[in-house]
Amino acid sequence: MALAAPMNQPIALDDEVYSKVTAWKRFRRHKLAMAGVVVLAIMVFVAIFAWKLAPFDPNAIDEVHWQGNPVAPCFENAVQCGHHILGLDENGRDLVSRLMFGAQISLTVAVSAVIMELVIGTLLGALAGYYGTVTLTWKRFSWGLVVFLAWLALVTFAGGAAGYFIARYFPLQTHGGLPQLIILTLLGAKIAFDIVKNIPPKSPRKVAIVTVAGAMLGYLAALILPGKPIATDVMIIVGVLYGGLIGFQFGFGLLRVDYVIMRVTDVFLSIPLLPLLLVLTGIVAASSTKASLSFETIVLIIGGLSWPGVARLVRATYLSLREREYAEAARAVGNSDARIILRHLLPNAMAPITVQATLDVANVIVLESVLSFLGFGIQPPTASWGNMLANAEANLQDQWWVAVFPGLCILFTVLAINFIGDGLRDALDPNAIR
Amino acid sequence: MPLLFLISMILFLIIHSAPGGGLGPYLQNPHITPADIARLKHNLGLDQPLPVQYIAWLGQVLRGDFGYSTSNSEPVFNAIVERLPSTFLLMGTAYLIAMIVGISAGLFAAIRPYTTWDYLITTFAFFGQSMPVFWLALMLQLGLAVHGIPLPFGYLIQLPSAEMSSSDTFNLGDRISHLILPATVLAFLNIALYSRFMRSSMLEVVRTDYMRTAAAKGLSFRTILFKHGLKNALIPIVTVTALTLPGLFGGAIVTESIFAWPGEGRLFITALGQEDIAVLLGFLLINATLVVFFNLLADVVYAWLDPRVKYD
Repeated sequence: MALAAPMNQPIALDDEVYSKVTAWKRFRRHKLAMAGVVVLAIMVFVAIFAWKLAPFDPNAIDEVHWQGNPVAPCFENAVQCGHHILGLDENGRDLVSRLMFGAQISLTVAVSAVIMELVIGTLLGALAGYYGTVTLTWKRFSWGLVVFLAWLALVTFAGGAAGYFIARYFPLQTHGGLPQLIILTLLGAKIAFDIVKNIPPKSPRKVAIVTVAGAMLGYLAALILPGKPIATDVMIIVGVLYGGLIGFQFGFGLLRVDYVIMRVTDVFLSIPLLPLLLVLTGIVAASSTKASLSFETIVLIIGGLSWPGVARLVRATYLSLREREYAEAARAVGNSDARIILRHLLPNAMAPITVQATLDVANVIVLESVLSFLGFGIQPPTASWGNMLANAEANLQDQWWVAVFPGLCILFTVLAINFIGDGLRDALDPNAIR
Repeated sequence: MPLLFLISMILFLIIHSAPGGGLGPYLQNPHITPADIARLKHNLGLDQPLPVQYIAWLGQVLRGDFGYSTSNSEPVFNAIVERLPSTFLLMGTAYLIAMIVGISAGLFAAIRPYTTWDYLITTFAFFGQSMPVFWLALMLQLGLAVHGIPLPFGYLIQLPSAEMSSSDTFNLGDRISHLILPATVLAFLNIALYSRFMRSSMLEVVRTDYMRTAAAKGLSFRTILFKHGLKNALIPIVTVTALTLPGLFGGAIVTESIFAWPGEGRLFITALGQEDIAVLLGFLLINATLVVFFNLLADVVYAWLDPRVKYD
């Protein structure tokens, strides 16, 4: 099943027009991107030197000024603020210092998670793309044939067994109503779709029509068998047929490394990211004895779940790159595959990867802030921009600054990174239309 | 289909690696003895090996039975269906606004590229992309409070107070006033998405040969733009729309939880807090299924609309 079809086609990279010098020139013309660089540079500087720049200890409560009443920023109430430029937060800690250390955490989480995502995604994507449609040699073919037949036998058997099992112990009952109808309809559509997409000539219209027809058949099947458990025979036949089809696909698929990798990618792309992140962090939070999520865990979880996008992008790039003359030349000279993938193709694939990585840093900053805001991210007292906002809603009326400033930090940083990403895209890919 | 089985397997594994193993709420209850726990485990089949549990669960799911919520013993399927209308209302309104405003804004920007208007709209779209939803919601709340605009913040309807006698009467004005804020917040983010897609898609179409041919035939600017251009530029938008549609059922976790909107997203967050495994699994599985389904739909519709696309 092709998710987001256009990405599966090879990407055309025009490296004749591309050079580092012209790219830099084009990037400099992009005013918003340059502004983004400045803003981001300031943020990074502050984050790195937070321990030097921060006027107060970010976790210390100012006992002198904090008497349980809100302490406003200096521009609102210069008398009372006592050198706390943006006032105190809802627990009496200096807001500016917390923002600076929050920058440290938020940026580090984002960059580390993206690095992790890049390593996994690039590796898998490069493998999938490079070995995507390996030309068959006799040796490969006979080996592939064995694997294919084994799979066919195994999955046909498994399909039949599963069909029997389901029919025997979990009879589908159509009078159960909607869910059964939906399942059968989807099943019919999917089977029809799978069958038709392997038969030439391939016309999209045919695929669509047969899919709809399959859906209607499934629907009819569900209607014709009212109230009775669907007969075991029917289930077995469906199981064998469908199992065989899966076996057929998988058998052929296993001839291609890329089939396996891309199926895994599809699985992770299909599960909505935010709920999955929340569940995982929730599980970790519940099982660790410290009852807290460490910084490393957050990075591992976010990075470990967000690589499929990169993998898909890298695969598409490699599919196109490996057909180039220089790749051919490198092969002809006798370079190993690993060397070609890393030394010859990777540098040429860097342009789209860089753009994607930049935009992903922005996304992860927002993601981390959402997780922390909901209480499943960085745990207090460590400050992150997200968890500083976690209690902001309750104190919105009398301590507006607690809600406004962390959000502004997120907004401007993410905006800056998005502008940079946009500028990079223009600069590195001359054919792209903004 | 194989994809869905793989997804269900992975989700099942992840969820069942949770420490309480589905009995989290009971374990913390001091009135429940270890013997009770063991009996519960046995009754719920939780003492069996994981693969057996998985197959039993899968069989139930195939029959449309997602099990029972551990927190209030309600069938999970019912709990999810119960919340559909309110999620539909919120997401539908938000998407509708986003599509109308976003597409017109993108179109408006695309027909006068690199002008002040274009930059304004593009920058606005970037703002929408870069803002965390919950913060936007907070700022709206703050802004309304400062200006003293009494728009209700949170909940689907006005909660019945002591002096109100008939609280369950349907009140359209009340409904709308409660819808405004969450729908605006959600729409704002999606406007950015739609306007950016629309702009780049329209720009691409404007450069094509058939547009030049149409212009050479002497057709008016309006005709070219709306009859030839818009039709083709909308094709990618259809795909984007199909890909966002799962949200119509899945709801928006953050927005719903901050506005206390009784939809799917809030169901999920509540279940997460109560370690309600059955609800979490049901929610994730249904949403993943929808994503797969709508992706398929997007592919088919795209191929249908654009005859140039061939699948291999």
